[in-house]
Amino acid sequence: MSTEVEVTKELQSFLTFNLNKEVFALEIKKVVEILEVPHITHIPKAPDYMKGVVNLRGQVIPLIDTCLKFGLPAIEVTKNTCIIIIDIEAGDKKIRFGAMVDQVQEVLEKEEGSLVPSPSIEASYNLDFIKGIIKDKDKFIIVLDIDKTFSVEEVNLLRKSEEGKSEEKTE
Amino acid sequence: MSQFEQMFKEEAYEQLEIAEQALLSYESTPEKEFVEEAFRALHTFKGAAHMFSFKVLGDFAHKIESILDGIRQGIMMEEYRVTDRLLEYIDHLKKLIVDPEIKDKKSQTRNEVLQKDIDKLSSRVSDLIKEKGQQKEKALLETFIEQEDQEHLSTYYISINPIVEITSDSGHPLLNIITDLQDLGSTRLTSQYDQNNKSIFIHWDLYISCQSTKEELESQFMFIDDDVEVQVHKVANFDLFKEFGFEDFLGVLEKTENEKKLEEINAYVLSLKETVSDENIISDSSENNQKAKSIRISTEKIDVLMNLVSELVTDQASLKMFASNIQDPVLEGVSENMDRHIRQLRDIAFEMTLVPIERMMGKFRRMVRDCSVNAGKEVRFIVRGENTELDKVFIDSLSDPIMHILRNSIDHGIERPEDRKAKGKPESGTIQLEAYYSGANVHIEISDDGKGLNADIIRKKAIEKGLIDEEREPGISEVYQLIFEPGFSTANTVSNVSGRGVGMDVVKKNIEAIRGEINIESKLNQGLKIIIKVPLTLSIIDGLLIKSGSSHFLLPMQVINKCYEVRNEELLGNFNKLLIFDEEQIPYIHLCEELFLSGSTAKEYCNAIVIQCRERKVAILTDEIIGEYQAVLKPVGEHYKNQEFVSGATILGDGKVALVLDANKLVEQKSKQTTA
Amino acid sequence: MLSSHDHTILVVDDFESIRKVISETLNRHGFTTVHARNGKDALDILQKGYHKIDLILSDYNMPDMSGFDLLKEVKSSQELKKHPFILLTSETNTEKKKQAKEAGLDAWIEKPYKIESFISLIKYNIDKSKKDVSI
Repeated sequence: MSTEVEVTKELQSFLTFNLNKEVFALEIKKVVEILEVPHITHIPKAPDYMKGVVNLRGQVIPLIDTCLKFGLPAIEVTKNTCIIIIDIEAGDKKIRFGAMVDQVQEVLEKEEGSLVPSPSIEASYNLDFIKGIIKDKDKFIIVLDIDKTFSVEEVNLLRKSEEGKSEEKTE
Repeated sequence: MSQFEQMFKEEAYEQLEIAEQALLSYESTPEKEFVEEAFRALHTFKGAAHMFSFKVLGDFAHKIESILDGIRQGIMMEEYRVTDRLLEYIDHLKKLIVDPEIKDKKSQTRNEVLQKDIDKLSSRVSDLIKEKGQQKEKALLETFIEQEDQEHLSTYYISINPIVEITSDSGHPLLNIITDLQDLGSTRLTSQYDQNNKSIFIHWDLYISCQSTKEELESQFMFIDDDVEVQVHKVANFDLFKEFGFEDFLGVLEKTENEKKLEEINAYVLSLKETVSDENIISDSSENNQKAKSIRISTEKIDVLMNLVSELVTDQASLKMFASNIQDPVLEGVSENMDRHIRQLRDIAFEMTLVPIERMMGKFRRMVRDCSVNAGKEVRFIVRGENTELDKVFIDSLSDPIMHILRNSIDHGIERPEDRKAKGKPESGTIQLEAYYSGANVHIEISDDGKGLNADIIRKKAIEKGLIDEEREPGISEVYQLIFEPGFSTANTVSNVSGRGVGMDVVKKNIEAIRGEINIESKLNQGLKIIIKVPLTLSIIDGLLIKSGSSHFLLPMQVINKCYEVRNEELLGNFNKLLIFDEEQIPYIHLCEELFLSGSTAKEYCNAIVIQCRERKVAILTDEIIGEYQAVLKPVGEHYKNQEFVSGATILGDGKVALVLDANKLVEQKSKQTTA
Repeated sequence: MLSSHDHTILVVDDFESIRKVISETLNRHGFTTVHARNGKDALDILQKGYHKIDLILSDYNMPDMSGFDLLKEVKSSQELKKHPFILLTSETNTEKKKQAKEAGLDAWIEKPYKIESFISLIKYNIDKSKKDVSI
């Protein structure tokens, strides 16, 4: 009987990917699809990590350089570079965007509850964007909090702080 | 009353038995007299049930009655096994008599099912009777609004003059009739008294929206027609009380002479008519033609159609490019034909959804007038750009917010004539409403020359209400934004016009709900300007495709004035960034420099495209003009909301994304730079 | 205004329960009531003692003789026509209402009614008929 209980335990899937040679993960339920890098239309005067827009079957999707977003060096586009198309909920609206990563690795299936709060990791990353960690073959992988990382508010907030800085400079 | 209830139940039950027997007889010999008999029994039952306040019983019986009425009139003949269903309903009534409050769980569910069933059937009967019946009585304002029509609400103006002396303590039946009428729906009653004796009535005006017909209302006064003269006018076949400006209008009516009231109502209703009725309905006077010539389509279907048309336009762009690469004359011919047809299809689909904002103006003009009369202010209302077209859905959802803004301007913005005089302003204030296109958006600016916003008062109030910290010194635009906060109202005194709870926060919410934006500009004692920006839902535009550096951009065709060639040397050392075209000095924007574009090739000439937005001209300098392009506008997403010069994006034939420039923003930015 | 005491109302309805409910309401407001099951019975009562009745309150639809037929009888009779006649009915047909008005009906009350308006209408009609007589 006890085996049955285990079978009903739900699995949670994570997509792992590389950013600047390190492995990160995100919950797969937010992922719509993964693309190779198409033609990117740059949008002038936007923050650096806002790479531009791409055409996803007729839909114009904003693109974010995930490395720059985390304060890592900008991604250099190679044949391994991928775009993860993600849907996030913002209020009652659904926002779709593309997150550019160095390389997509694999899908990990973990039992529910294996995502645990992160212990104090050396704070080389902005901890606000970390949802927790999962363990995979003796390694710990950081799971990103997608809703927070790529929310519009976050983008606008960053913009404002940048504006603030530049205003200070000019004054 | 309860001691007679048991007796009622027995007697009511008997009536149901009579009805049941009659229906059974009708089933075997379909003769009308049996239907009549069942009808009578149920009618008696209904009356009795109402007397004992068994509303559920009475109402249910009423519905059976109306179905029987249909059979009597020969309408429900084809209905499948209608007697079976009627018997079922009567059975249900029998159960309800025993348990009129429906405490039993089983009969509760049964009741729900049967209620729905009978509602469907009886409303079908009443629709059929209506169809068959004589031409409906005409209202001043006839419109077909789905929601309202479902409720069958109409608005009436009832004017009553006493013939005999009626005093407030006379107990005259008229007073009860008026009170009873007020229970029928939304009403407004104004009574006028004799100046020498305040208890003697000399006139009543009753405005009412209800489901009754004109005839039914008139018949209420039938038995007192020796005592009073009553005129019932049907003024609209929907509920005017739901109209935003109606309260204001009633205020104006109170100041109008009795004889002129109907005329005033006519004028008011006409102002609404422009907004609500469809073109087709205006052009067709006869009612029967109307049905054949216009059909109503759900907005969802139009959305789907528009999306498909958009896709088709994009596909066509690919086909066109493919055809020109292959250089097959047959293919190119086909492509050209398709291009033309898709263009026509697009235009027709476009027209289906767009209406000029002029539609709203009659209503606005009326409201401004009514509202300023009530507020004792003189206001001139100027409208510009009324031909600007917007999606019909947007027109509908913008009308109330704009009414609210106009009302605020009159109430809180424009000063009283004497105050204006003291300030050295003309006695009558001016409110201007201007609409124009800006890229993929329509802007509606509402400005007044009133007292403007007082940032100090707003700040104080915001601190009072705990909206901001006392220590903080927010910037002026942030202060203005505070008036959009829920629960914020700057009116010191609450007038009957605005300040009634619905604030600017609701206005903002309504506008944001259609992906719009609202902004405020103001100068103390000079006035206030509110700018509403809404997208054209339907975003297929004709544009000019240009290339600067390695990037493609699209400029909306309607802003383009003229194109010139400019020698690049002319730009060297041109520090004030002005070019002269046709003896006119025009400031220019060099796209590559302005947008830090790379890949620009040093050529001898570049192209100058002069765009014009609201009297102002700016030349856009670009490396190359590619040609006219039919573009489907797509949003670039919330993430790029701050890149204001981009109003959207479009997908080119080769699948690349090109940005659509907001010409208006470019012009605005440029003129700010030059004035700074 | 005249007091409602010692005024007698003839209540005509085929439902005993309704007659009783109406009477109870009227009695509470100081009226005396007399009952009839249909138009025929009512006419009998009126013919025997019309001077005792101050107002007739009748249902519309009744077996044997309807309220409308009763109305016609009453209003065409020299002795009875001064009696105020009120129809109390769930009938909403304006045609029927018009016909009743033409036949001389004084007031029409629709079921369900508000007690206040109901009583006030009855009082008003009794008062009116008494005034007319005094003139």
